[in-house]
Amino acid sequence: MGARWQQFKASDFLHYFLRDPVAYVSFTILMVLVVSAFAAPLIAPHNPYDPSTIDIMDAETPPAWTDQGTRTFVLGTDDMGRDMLSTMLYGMRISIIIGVGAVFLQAFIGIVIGLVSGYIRRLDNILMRIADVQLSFSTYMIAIFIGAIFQMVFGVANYEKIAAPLLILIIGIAEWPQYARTVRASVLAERRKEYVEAARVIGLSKLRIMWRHILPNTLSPVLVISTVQVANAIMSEAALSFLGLGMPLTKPSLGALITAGFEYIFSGSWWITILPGILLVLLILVINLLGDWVRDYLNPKLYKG
Amino acid sequence: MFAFTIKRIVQAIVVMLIISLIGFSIKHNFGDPVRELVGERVTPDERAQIRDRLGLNDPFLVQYGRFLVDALHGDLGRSFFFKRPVTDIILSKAPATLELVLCASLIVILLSIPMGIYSAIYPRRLLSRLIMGSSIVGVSIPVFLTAIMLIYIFSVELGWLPSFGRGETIRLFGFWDSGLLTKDGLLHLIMPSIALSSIMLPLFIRLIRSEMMEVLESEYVKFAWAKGLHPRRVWYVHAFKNTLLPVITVGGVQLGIMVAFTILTETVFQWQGMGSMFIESVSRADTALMVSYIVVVGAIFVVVNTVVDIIYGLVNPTVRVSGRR
Amino acid sequence: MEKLLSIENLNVDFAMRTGTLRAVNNVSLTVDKGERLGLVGESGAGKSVLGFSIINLISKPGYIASGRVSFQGDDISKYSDEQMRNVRGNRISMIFQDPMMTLNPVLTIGVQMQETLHAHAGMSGSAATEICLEKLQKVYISSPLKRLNQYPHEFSGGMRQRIVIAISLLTNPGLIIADEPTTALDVTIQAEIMDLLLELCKTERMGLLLITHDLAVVSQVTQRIAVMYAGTIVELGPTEEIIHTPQHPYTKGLLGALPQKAGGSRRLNQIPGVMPGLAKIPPGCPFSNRCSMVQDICRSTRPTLDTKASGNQVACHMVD
Repeated sequence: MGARWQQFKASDFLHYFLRDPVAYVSFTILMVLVVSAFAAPLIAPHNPYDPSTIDIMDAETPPAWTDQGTRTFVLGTDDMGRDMLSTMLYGMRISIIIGVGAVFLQAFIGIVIGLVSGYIRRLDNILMRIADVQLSFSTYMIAIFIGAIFQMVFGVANYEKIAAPLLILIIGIAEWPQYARTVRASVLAERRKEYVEAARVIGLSKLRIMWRHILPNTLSPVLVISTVQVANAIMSEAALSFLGLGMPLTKPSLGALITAGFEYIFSGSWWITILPGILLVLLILVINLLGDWVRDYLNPKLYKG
Repeated sequence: MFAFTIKRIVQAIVVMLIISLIGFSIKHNFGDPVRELVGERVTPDERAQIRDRLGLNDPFLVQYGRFLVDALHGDLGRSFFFKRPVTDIILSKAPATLELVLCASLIVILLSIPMGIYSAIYPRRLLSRLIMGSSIVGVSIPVFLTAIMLIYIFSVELGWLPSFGRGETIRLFGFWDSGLLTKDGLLHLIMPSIALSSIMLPLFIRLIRSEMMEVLESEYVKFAWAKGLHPRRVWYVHAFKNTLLPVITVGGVQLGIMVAFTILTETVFQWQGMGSMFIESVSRADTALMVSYIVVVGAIFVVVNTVVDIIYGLVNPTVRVSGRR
Repeated sequence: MEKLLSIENLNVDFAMRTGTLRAVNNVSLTVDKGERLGLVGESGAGKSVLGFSIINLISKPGYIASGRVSFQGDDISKYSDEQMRNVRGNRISMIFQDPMMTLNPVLTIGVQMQETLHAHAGMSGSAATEICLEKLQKVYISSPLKRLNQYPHEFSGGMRQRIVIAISLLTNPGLIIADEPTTALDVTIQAEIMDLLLELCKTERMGLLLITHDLAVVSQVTQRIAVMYAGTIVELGPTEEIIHTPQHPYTKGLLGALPQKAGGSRRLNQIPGVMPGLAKIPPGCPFSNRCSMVQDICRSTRPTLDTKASGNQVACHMVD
């Protein structure tokens, strides 16, 4: 373990990382956001989900730096009197969990299908056709359709109860093609290489070759697209929530908060929707910047999306 | 070329069939045609009779067949909410969406090409860096958020632009309600179009730029320089024509994202187009409308993708002559 | 008599993140009118860079650091972009290695030929077409009129290279720079193309700078050879002399390494070691770390290209 750490410290990666201000600033901001999101129960000044702490008389208080703001509610309150800072922290946590969860799912499905597709010629054609068609519909569209269908099947009330895992499922299903194609391309490239020939000649089973030899070599491209996919997943979840197909208001993600606050823009309470909006953009932006940097570092030609 | 076209068309038909099958299955399992026809206040007996009459107890494939035939004749069922045929509703809402998409596409094409080319030729200049920087930011802002910000700045704070609806429209050809011909309509179009283009624009700029940069490094461009040709000719004729090919394929696919975003944009701006219609039908469990939207949108995708493929075949000489890609 | 091309003390550098590297070191060469000069060396020796630097088309981050390039009496190394455009493809034409990559896949041959005439002679329409047809015939392309409307991928490799040569002839240039013109072609086609080039240079009285690593090709086509190693010219002389009586240890090694010279033994005669990358060129003579005749002076002082007793120019302390 110590040796690995030494290796890492001395590596190119760390060197270039520390030299590029975009990289380490984004990383720092991301860490701050993630830590504060998951530490929400500890650091949030109020608990927005405990009805006893909420007073409707506090509703629509502007942020602390305006005239009518108060120190108790640093970023103001929403239409129910809940503290904005707290709801945003909890909301960010949900957004991140769903985003990361969805990416794990899509990576899992995508890698499996990619491996199978790259290795078994007969299934390759069909699987890739499906992937192509799904991609051509755009994953946003697919996610919205599946979400709409699920909501109709389960009914709005039930849908809201299982919204979080359902969203992970929806976004996971919608986005697997990217992973599948990347992994398949890697598998096809690796297959031609000599070490696979060698392994086959020794008599290793197909499965074993796939698992122990080819898979590790496909992980690098997978890592490259994963960062951007997390950003995409968070955006997808926000979009679904905005359309009412996502997280409910009782357990809002950042997207749901923005939706809920939208109408209050017209009555002057801009912070209810704008502040979660800024936080969402910041989160997605730093992930995208990091993703770009990782991609440029590992291989500039890998992901053109 | 001919073989190529036929192959593409056959593929398109297969995909359409699959989409229609999925759509129909949903309708079959979750929709309630009886309710669509006569509403909710029917006795169970009458209900059973009507079901029989409508052929709802026939086997699945028979019903599917009927669905297909009806669809090809333009009959996609009735919306129980609007109490009108679905086709009618879709046709009445389509112009709104199409005009919006048209304006947004214009913005994207007119801006992304010059910006993409410029930042490919002069990657280190300040303007190029600005363009690329704002691209990343643009890509990180969800469409609906851009829309909300635009509304906040230009409607609420500055009061320059209207924040919802299409404004005044003029009816053309008897059915097309156009907002393009009135000043009011155009004012209403501005923010939604900008919002809708906001994610496509950075994507296209980055795409054109990266393709163009790759092309500028190619041997044939170097040869063009060695022939002593004027830079404008090298950039626009030699380089750009080759950049177009991959941009067309990828660009055509982005249409899918565009349609998804119309749903979001129309919802924010209360734009009475197909997108907001879809969302409303979901919350009302209006199956007929919902499924029809999916099928219609699916058809649009398939048609556009096929057309794009065929255009690519025409533009790329290697395909045109040998017939294979 | 004025030389067609005269390169004097040319230095070409590359500005890398880690420092400046010198790819062409103090090179001086001349080419007479109608003369055919071969520039020989391994990959990475700087031959292509030298070729490109004549028309100032070196890929970034390369640039001409110092020295002079004169063409037909004009100092073209000081030319502006616009002036240089007048020279490229017009007075000096260049042929690249792989004709499939050189010709633009989405433009017809006709377009790619006529644009040269349009750019340099202001010609278009039927006048331009006539000249294109004439040149296509010179390179023995059949049915030239039909060909004008075809695309590069419709031709074989050999035909494509002929077309590239035809393009280079359009403006009756004084000099053709051919950078590895046959390396990407089949062996049988190589001979045809080289014969064609040879014939055209003679009939059109053009100078030829043939850049290649193929000693066989260069021995048949050129009148003089310059041997390049790690950015410097190490030997320069008439083709016959260089091929049969090489003086510089590197040239000797090159010729000795030819399969024919291996004689009865099974192993090829290799020069020990590898040519150093630009950053690792030893001080003094660049060949010093691989030379069998190396002495102290070789390691400390860089030898200059001087005319030796044999009449050739050799850059070596150990040759008189």
